[in-house]
Amino acid sequence: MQDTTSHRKAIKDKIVNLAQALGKDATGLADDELISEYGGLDSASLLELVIWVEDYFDIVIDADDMTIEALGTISNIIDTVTKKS
Amino acid sequence: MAKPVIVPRVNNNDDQVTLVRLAVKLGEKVSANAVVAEIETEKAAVDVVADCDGIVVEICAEIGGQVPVGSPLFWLGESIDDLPPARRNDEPSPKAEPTAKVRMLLRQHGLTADEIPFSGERLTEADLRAFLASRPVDRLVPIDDVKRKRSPQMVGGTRVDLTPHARAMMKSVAQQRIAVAPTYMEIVTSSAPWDEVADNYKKERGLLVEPRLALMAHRLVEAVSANPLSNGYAVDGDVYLHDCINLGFTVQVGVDLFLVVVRDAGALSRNQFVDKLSHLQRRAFARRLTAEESSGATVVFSSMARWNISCHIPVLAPNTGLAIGHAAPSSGPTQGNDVFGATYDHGLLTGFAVAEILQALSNPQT
Repeated sequence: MQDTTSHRKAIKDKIVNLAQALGKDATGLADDELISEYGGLDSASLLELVIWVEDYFDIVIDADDMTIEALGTISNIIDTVTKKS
Repeated sequence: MAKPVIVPRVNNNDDQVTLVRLAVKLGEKVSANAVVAEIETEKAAVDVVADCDGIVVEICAEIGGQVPVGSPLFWLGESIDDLPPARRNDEPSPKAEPTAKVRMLLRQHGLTADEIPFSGERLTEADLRAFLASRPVDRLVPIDDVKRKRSPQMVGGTRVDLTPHARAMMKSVAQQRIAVAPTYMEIVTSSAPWDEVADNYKKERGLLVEPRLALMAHRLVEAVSANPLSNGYAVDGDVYLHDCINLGFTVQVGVDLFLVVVRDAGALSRNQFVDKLSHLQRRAFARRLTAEESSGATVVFSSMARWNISCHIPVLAPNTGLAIGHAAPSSGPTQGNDVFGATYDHGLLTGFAVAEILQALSNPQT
């Protein structure tokens, strides 16, 4: 997968937007911090994030991928997308 | 024998869809699971897939036209000469010969066999239930003909045009007024037990999404399994039990409310149920629910916990006798607690039976 930096930024931007809709600020979220804990996203927002990841990277997230290990942080998401690309 | 590809339901509230694109031509060979068309409503667009191999022998709709949910979009035959039943010239159109149970259900719903599309040699209960799931509520339960006590001229105001979504919602909730004896009771319980169970479960499976509500919904399935009448419905003085538990779960996506349905939930393990519900929630957020994924609920679980609501009195879905509303307020007299409320048809269930279900819900341990 090319241009990891731009992909990280895209994921971060999406998380910030989703957090804003909840009245929270995720701009300080680090790549290895839990999105649910430090990004302030609730379950519905996490589902929206997963759908966005599928569409943006043109991949399919399986039931087995719905874990913190696979999608819990920005770095985890990048790793999962890389494996599936 | 030619089989129909049926127009799926996109969401609960649209009984007609627009055919946007056809990916097949007359005479073309189609494989199972191939995308054959695209349909859309005001809210979403979905692909239609073929559920079997075949050759397109008849196309029943035009691009840009409105087609009813549940009607044939086109027919697939084993050969180009394998025509749909109504088109065969070498033999009379096959007469639907319903089973005795289907004849009873037809009478119950005020329908005739001629109105129900079917693909086999005989109209079956499955054909009828698929048709019923796609019909507006006012055909499922006869509307009474009591004249309205109020008229616009007496009350005044300006008539508002309703969207199809709003009109379908109005019809859906009207069933509770017409066909059932709705009663409500609730139980307030400490959130600590569910917090502990959900936290442990989430850690054990390393889940991304909070499983609390999914686990509650599964607990409801267990409670309903132990109380079969709660998976039934009453019509015209008779009681019917559904063949399996189809758990309906409300999902709010923006301003739209979807009801996803975990079919045959009683046959699923807890992990299977949680995974299936998570999958359906994602489908709802992506606005890609199929007809099967959003219809046929036999019991409903709905939570307003996300919005700090203190009391949630749900409406009964068509052909159900029980709906559970959940709230988890963070302020007020019940803050820090889970509130489970049950709307039920008192013509079907006693208060004692519903109280048992609510008590089961308040205890996460099976």
